[in-house]
Amino acid sequence: MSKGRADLHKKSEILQGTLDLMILQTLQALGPLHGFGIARRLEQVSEHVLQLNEGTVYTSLLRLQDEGWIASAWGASENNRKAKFYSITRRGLKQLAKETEDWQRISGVIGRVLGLAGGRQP
Amino acid sequence: MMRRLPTLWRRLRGTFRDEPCDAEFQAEIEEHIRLLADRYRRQGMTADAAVSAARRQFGNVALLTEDRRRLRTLPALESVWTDLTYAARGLRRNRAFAAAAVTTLALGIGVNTAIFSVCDAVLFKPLPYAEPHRIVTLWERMRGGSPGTVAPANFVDWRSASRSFSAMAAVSSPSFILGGQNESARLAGAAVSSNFFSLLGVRLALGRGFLEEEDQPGKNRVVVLSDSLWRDRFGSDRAIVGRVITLNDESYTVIGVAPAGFRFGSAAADFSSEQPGRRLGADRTQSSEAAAGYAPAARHRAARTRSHAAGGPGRARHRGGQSGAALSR
Repeated sequence: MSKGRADLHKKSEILQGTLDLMILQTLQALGPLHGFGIARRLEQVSEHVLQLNEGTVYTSLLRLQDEGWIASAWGASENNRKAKFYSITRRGLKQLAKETEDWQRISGVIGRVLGLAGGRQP
Repeated sequence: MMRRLPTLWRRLRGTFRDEPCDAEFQAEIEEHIRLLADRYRRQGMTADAAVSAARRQFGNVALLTEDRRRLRTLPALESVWTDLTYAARGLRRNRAFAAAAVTTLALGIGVNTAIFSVCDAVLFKPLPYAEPHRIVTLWERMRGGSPGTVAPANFVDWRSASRSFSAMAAVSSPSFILGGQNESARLAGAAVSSNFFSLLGVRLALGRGFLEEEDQPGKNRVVVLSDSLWRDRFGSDRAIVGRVITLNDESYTVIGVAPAGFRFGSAAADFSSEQPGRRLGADRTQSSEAAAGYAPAARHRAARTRSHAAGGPGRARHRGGQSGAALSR
């Protein structure tokens, strides 16, 4: 209980560029989604740890569209309202694979470095 | 690179007109905020509190719209336009300065164009002859060391003695007055020996070149017209060959028309046949500095280099006892 409260107050700022990666991954895993759906999915996966201005999801979507990694089309949402659905493109899939690999390599390095520092402490 | 083209196109479109997508984008955002507010209301908030909480969670809409605009337009293009209008305003305010600037630019461009035109004609454009690198002009060296035209007697000697050149043609530049029914005109032209066109490797556009016997006195009243003269004075008349025209008060028969773009020396010239024999007779009595000499055009033999060929006329100097010869393009 007390740990959960601490987590709520220790929301992490989102790392630059990682939002793009997370959105690509979300679209790859769940198929076409509208912006609201993506925001909900991110909220759910991050277990409310990430501090996310949901507007930034749209900035990211614009950027991804500009790169041609996602495509958009109008459709009807669950409650039958007009909504824009985003889906990952083939080039987006390629980019996702590449960025995932990069991310794992970097986080591996950082993990090792932090582990090293921890080992020295008495 | 290819995928950048649609992006560029979309951005250009976005720069010059506000797309209807702007409204759609706003609607998309409003829908998102509405859905967030719905959720807060279901959690028990009042309608107003739910909306403001939703807006808080969504963040800065104005900033997002700004981001979108930046992604959808060419910012550089917009600032270029701003710069241009600013410059125009400045120039209008400061007319004297504007005039000076424009004059400077105009002069600069004009001078550059003029210099380039000359360089283009002199250096860059290949001469309109076959294998132009093998064609040279021969000059005699005068006593002072400056190049001068070749005395006709020397020309005949050089032509028979030289082994460096496969052909040598005599060229002199008398002035021609073209007589006509209503007006006469001064023409730039040359009197040449019969092998002139074959030496340059030029095929006439119309008619034929000079025959060898037309170097003889009495048979040399034949002329080849330049393309521009044929167009301007004779109305591109394709039946011109065989017509008789008056040059320097004498009758010449037109036997051909040079191809368009053909030029020799600085001007597009009109050519009449020259007979070295007759000139030779007259010049034998004159000094070698005689003004009425030839500037012969000669064609190298293919295998010889230029420095090699320079020996040819050099020998001629010893034989003829004349001043030396220099080669130039």
